[in-house]
Amino acid sequence: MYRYDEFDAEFVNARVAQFRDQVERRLDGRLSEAEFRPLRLMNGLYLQLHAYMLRVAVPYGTLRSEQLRMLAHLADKYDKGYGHVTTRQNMQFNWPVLGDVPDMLADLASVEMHAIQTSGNCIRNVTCDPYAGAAADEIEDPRPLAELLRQWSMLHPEFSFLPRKFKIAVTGAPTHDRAMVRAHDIGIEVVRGPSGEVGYHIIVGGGLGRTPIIGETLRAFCPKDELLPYLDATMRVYNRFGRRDNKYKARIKILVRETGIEEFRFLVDEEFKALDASDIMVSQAERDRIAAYFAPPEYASDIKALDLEAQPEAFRKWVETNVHTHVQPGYAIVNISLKDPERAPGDITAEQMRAVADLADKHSFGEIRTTHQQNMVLAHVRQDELRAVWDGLVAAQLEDANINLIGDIICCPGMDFCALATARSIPVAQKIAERFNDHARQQAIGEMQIKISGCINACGHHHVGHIGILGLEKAGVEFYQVTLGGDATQTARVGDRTGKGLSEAELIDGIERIVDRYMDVREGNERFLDTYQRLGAETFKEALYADA
Amino acid sequence: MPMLDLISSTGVAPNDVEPALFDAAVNQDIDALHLPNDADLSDYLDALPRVKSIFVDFPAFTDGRGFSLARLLRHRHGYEGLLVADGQLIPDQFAFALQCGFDAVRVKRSERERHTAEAWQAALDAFDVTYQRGYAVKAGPATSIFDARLTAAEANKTTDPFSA
Repeated sequence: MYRYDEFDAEFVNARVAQFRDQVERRLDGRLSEAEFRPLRLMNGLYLQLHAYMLRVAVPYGTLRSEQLRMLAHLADKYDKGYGHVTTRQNMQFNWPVLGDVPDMLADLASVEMHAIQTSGNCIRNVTCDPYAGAAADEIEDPRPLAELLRQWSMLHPEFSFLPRKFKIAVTGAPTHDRAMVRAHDIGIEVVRGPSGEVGYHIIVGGGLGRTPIIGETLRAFCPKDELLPYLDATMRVYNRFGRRDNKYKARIKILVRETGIEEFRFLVDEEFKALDASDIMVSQAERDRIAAYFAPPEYASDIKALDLEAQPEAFRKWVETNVHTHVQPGYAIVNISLKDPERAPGDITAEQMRAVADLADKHSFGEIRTTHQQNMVLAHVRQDELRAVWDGLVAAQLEDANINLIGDIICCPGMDFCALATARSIPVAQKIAERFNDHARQQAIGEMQIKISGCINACGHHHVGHIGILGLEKAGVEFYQVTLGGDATQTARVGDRTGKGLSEAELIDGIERIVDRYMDVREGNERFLDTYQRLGAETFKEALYADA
Repeated sequence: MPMLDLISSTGVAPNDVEPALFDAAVNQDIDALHLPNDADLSDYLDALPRVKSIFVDFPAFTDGRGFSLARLLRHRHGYEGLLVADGQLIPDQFAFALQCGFDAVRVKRSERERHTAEAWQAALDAFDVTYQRGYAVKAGPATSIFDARLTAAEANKTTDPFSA
């Protein structure tokens, strides 16, 4: 993992001091709330329904064990004993007091962490494939790229007051996109060029929110050394021409759509040709320096085969659902589900964070990942230590075997926390998880992604859920709209809206009928998504509204 | 040292040119050209050598278009005259403005009671380092982190007879 050098450390410490000063100026009135707002947002501090919320950056979803322990410390000291993993791989604390926030940031800086650009109209914390560096299907580990982007985007003097927020995601595995690169303002895939050299496929203008759009190719192949200048050119076109008259039309996807991808590409190319690349380019030596931090760990070769037959059934089920193939023979990728039906999706207690940190130290080179599906990952676990990891997870009540199954629901905070929400989302997620609590049934249903947003801003990614749920409100009554057939991967697709909204009770029953219908009509090992694509929406719509 | 109070409070000098009057200013020297932040610079390129100062409007501090305009004027179009960010900026943006190529910021006198000259100066001192190498400036974040790393790496390579 990347380690700060003296300059990174100086930068982040200066940022903490700057924010402390900004808070003082806000408290004594020198900064108005209107002036303070964008400044605090750029430091990850929101004002929510009940309190401030601090969103801590987990750059490209990667944590060292001592960093996770620090998050546990923050949860205990400044919050109510838990944190929340977000769909952009960050960790949120829902109950801090404004005066404590500078101290929280100082605590974070002591372990090379920060909350910079986790919010606001700037380039946000970059997200990444959680299996980076461990996946068998990747062309190259995308984390060095993500770290370079982190540094490039930190307090960029020109691009800190953009028309709207700007989200970048990267993946090194274009054939199995686990980073949703087509649903981001810019998505970057590591690809091979015409003569086999490694470079980047740049996708622009994707996004969910009120106007879901799947991103389009801006540049099919960008050589590595041209990436930062090319991104600068793209950002400059957006900063100048992105709409500022209407915040709901201010994302780059609207600019790309209104300009047309051809014309937009022309503008970027013109800018790219004219700019001085040396302003922003980084040398090969520097890229190598960063990449060296992400060298593969020292794998062992004396790993004994795991005799699953001799293991308890619960463990075998967990292996089947939560453990993923690793690039290194003898190793495995372990997914830790944060989808206990009793908790909000993505919530994790301080005690559990410490348990995961300990497991990472013992079994995964001290490293932890967070995922956009609001789970965690131990990326490099010896197969003969899987049982020990599972035992540790059982002790911490983190053994839910539901990764990618119907219980693995993505969900925004909704009305329970968020000032923008129009409906509750967490209780809906919990009720669905409860309804399908039986593991054998979940397993039989197979891969199924339910995603829930509590308002049209779509933080719960409902547009790209196999089943998407959108919570709305009319005359004080919450209701839920269902979309079907969304896809968040390399075959990204926005789901189809089914029809009129349903009450919460109707919704849960309707979803169960959709699932039952799918079980009746599927062929072979078809996933729900495959069956939906084969048969179309009608039969599932009929099932959804059968009772209405 | 960038000045804050560039122009007397009466504002516009005799041969200041607003965009609407620009075409009438053919062949004249222009003391001050006032540009909106969505200006199409191609309209003004021929005149740039005759322009002594450009004031780029910041209608709201959250509107960052002026930063890109400054960058273009300086780096693409080689403008070397005085460049002023004019309007609703706050001290926390001072370093960004200088880094993008502005020489100074002009704010309303009434704003300077809350945001004092000291506050503007203090904001400049917040950072000594920047990750964007072409945006390093003497008054403000003066050190490019990437360049500093390179220097440090080079220094490590030289053989020092006194180091163990």
